[in-house]
Amino acid sequence: MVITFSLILQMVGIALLMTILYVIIGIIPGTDETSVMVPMTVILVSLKVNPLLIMSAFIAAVVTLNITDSIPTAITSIPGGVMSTPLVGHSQTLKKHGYTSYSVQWMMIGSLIGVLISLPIALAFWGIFEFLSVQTGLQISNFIKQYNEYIFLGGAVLMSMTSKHKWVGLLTIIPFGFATAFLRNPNLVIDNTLLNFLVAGRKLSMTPFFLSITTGPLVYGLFELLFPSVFHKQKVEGKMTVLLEQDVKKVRTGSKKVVQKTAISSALGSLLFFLSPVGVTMMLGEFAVRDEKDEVQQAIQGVSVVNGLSSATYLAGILISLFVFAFPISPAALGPGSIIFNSGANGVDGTFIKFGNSGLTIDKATLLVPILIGLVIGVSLSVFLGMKYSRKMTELVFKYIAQETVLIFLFSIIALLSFAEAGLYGLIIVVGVGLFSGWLNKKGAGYGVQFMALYAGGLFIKLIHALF
Amino acid sequence: MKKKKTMVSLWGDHIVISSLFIGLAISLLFVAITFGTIELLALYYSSVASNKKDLIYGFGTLAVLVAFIINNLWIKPQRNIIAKAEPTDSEDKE
Repeated sequence: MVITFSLILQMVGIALLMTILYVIIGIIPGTDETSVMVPMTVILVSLKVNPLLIMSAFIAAVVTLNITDSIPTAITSIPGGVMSTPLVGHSQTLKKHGYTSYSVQWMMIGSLIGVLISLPIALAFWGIFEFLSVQTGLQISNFIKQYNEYIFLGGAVLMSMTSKHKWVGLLTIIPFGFATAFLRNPNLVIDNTLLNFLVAGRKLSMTPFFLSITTGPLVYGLFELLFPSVFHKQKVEGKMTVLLEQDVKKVRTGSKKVVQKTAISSALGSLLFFLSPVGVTMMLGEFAVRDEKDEVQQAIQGVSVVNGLSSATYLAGILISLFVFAFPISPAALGPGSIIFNSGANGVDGTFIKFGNSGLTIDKATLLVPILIGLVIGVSLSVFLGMKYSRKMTELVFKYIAQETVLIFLFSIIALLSFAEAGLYGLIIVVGVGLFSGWLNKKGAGYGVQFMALYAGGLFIKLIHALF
Repeated sequence: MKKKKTMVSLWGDHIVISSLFIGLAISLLFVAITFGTIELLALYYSSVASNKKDLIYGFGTLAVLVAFIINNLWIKPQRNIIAKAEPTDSEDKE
């Protein structure tokens, strides 16, 4: 595929659009990365936008969301998203000492370091695999792909074992994997009149299930409000008070150490791409600042390292999955990037990646162009805006965008996508599986385990067929 | 006397339950109208029928965006913003 000037302009345009959109979304408190990324990507894929444009938009959105998520955390101590939760403690310390704006600057620098470190690591990983493929004459990615259901099963087990709630994760894998595989194609297992009427011979794609898992905690959170005990616990009076602080204080020493620690942590985080980004960020983030005795220095190092780690683990996870395996092998690719892999890059042939939906076959080197465009625009614009206007942006978003409208937007997009995909059955699936998934999430089986169980689901159906 | 709105804490923010459901009903109505119109047009025009799914995705997204703008006009954020200026003395740590 030839990249024309007009195509480059379109990539720049879509990356700019997504950056602006996700700067706003990132600042809105509490927004979950996967929940807000997946529906927008599904829309782009459904509208049959050129895969190169989707890639540019997706990368710009991922890096922007990772960067801007931290801004409200620094300014208001309210986490902008799941990945910024580890920042709360450090930013509160810096706020207490009057270094709010300074902490935003270090968060931005941390993210920038994370991106700059993870990109060459991901490319080096790709280079090593290509070299090994050439030397051995073996298409390693295709060889691995033959066993991907087993790999996902192993990944789900590994992820459960390394999580806080080991047993919940382990006990989730088989029932969740089987249930989702059955619901995708019920006729494979049973023949029932009512089910046949609802399903109408459809074999569902993964999309309704992705939407179910990503919005599960939110759907379950709303459902829980039906219980009086939960409702009374979550009932609040009056508006939420948000303190917006501004300052000009700076610490003039220790910058070199912060940069070094951020770079080393980001490199390690990139190599641990197959583990949960939140887990890696928490673990390495704590480990990196442990030796620092000064409270302020420790907090500055903390905000920079955590931001660097979250950007690096996300980006490396997505790029390595895409270039080396062409199927999602990291939690970042399984979660926010799931649609890219499900409807987009679904096969590797030598140096080419096949994009099933559009029928395009693009060589990997060409794919680097939209990735770099998305990366450069997303990082430069969000870091610039964050450094210069973080307080003003937070104030505007907090003042004019209601949380209700964001939730309504997400729910409506999901209703539209699931109904268009599979009618009433699609809606039932999204709500039903969403509730189940949200409940599992609350009990301790995170997104990573659920996505891996979803991918490994076919294996359980095969096992049942083999047994009976 | 003005009736107090029932609010809950969800996704790290305070939300008004009635606004959430009314707003959702408005948004879903827009989506339903889009679906209905495209289905109806598909009965009479073959060009619409052959591109039904694409049209539903495109105009459906547009409908959700319009509903988002309308909802933002009447749903006000439940946040009390207090601007606080900190001491402006510069501090050097050695």
